[in-house]
Amino acid sequence: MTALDLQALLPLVLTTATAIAVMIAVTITRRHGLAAWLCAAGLAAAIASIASARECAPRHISDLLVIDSFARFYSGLILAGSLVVAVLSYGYLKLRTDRHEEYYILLPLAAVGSLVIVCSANLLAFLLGLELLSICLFALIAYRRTGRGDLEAAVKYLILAGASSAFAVFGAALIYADRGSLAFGPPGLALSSPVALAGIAALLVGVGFKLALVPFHFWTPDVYQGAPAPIAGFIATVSKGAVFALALRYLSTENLLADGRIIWLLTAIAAASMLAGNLLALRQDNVKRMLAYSSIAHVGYLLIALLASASLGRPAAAIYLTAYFLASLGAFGVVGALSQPTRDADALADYRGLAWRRPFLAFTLTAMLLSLAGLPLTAGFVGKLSLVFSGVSSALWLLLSALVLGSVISIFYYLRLLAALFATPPASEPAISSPNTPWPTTAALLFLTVALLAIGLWPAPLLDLIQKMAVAAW
Amino acid sequence: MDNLDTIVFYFLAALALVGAMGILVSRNIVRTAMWLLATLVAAAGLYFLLGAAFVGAIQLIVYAGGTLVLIIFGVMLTAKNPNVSYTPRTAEIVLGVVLCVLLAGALIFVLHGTAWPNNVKSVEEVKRMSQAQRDLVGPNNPDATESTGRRFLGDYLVPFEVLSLVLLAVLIGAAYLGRPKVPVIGAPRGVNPPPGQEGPRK
Repeated sequence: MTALDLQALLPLVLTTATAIAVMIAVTITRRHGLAAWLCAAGLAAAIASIASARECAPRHISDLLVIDSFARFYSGLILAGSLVVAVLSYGYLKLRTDRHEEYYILLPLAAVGSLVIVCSANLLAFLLGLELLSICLFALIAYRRTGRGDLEAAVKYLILAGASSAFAVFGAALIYADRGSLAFGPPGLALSSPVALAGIAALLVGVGFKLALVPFHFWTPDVYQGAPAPIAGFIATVSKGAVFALALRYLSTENLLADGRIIWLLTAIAAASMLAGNLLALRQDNVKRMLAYSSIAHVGYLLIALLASASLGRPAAAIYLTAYFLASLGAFGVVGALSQPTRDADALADYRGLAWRRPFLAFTLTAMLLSLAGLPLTAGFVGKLSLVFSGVSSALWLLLSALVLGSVISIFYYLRLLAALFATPPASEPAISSPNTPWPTTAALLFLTVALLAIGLWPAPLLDLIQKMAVAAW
Repeated sequence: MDNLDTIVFYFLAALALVGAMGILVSRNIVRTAMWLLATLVAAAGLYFLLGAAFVGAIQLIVYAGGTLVLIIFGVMLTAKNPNVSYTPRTAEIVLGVVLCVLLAGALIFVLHGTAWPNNVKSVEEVKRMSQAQRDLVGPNNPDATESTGRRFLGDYLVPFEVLSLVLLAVLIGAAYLGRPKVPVIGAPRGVNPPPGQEGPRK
């Protein structure tokens, strides 16, 4: 381990140090504000360390981790998402539970797990990161410990994450049996051997579970509904983004897309996720469940970038994920800001006439929903456009038609929520009397909205950054 | 020697299988844990048979020793009646059997259809090799424990530290969730449990 290795690992080290610093602070004095600020400052420092180290060449840390510009871009995205979740959580937790501080230890640890996944160049590192992320999420999902809903969500996630991890570990073992190494290629995996094929299939179960792709999606609505709103946002963005970046790297270093069976399988999963996610969201009156089903569809769209040619697919994936991070975190942030101490604001009725009661929150949610629907002037439009370009260039007509069909369906249920926002308020008391929004929450939501509209109106700086960072070969 | 190895292998494999079947068939959690012990010890024996003494020892200490005791303590401390039994429905049994048969069939097909390399070395052969050759062979290396320790603090320092973070997350998460339930301050009626029904206070 040299000084340069350490410098490349600085984001990981700083995020770990954040968790430990919060832990030590908690042993001295239990203050919610102190823990939250330490956590936010540590994550911000980790982001700054990525920005400062942008010029470094790819570095391999033993044969387990690789820190290249691709890993740095997604590390930045993950840390920024975690920072926004930490800030949103401050206002959310203040009204709930009597002990807040452990949350700010577990959140950076979950971010470390995601960073390890993004940087992994070896199945062993991937499995380690996956476990760290999952274990932190079990506790974070059940963090309120108040209702049956959160405990049910946490137990469901625990059992299904355990089962899917078992499949992933078994898959890694089969791949090890085949080639005698857990490191990613090149040379790519030879799928002519049945052991390697079975290994890939078992790995797909583990990855598909974390990405909530059809048919591994059954946990998603229950977990999103039961989890605290900021943690639902974390699962939808950071956890999925990390595993998606890993899938992108793994498929291309192992050259798996050269095999027709893999392409066929991923195409079927993508089309099924887009259609099933959108159709199931259509029937939801619960906003958190609706966002859960729509997140299934969004990862389905993202698979287009996975299957398209690398030159267009990789930038498209980065743009789409950035837009999806902004919009999902914003939407769950508004849900959290509106929630009462006793229950989250997840009924459609809670949003009726919101534009007249809470104009800022209603405007923010409108921007987020329009971006998720992929309408112009928002980042979601830029993302969807680049996805379509990458799909057209690789002639993925089946997936593109599923994308168009899914988007049309999705506009219906996003507009349904929008219509509720701007409906005339009912004469009687609103269904939910939402608390005042604390300023950190307002600041985070304002940042997300401004970034969303800025990327939608003037995407050139983001596209430049992505061309420089997220496309580089490994 | 080869014959003895084969006999021991089949004995251990049979023990592991019988233990696994026992886990499935028994309906009492404590008995399930005892059957699990048989499977875990048999797996440790298989590791020793392969010459992976370090992994075998860890398997005995951590799984057969630690985890199993933890399971039994968990049952003793949480369940009101330690002899809890669980009766699955017929539909669940049918679904489970179908899935298992499919999975087992696929695995047998895969393992049978693969040409496995035959370059296994006996312990005597390894002892005659030079150090560089031994490092390549790995598991059968008599000094495996030492080189494992060196690698944990050398090449594999980062993953080793990540593993310790996993343990940290487990400790903090479990300590937080395991706290006795405290009434939520200022919560409306119905959120807190009625007086006298809160969890045990320390």
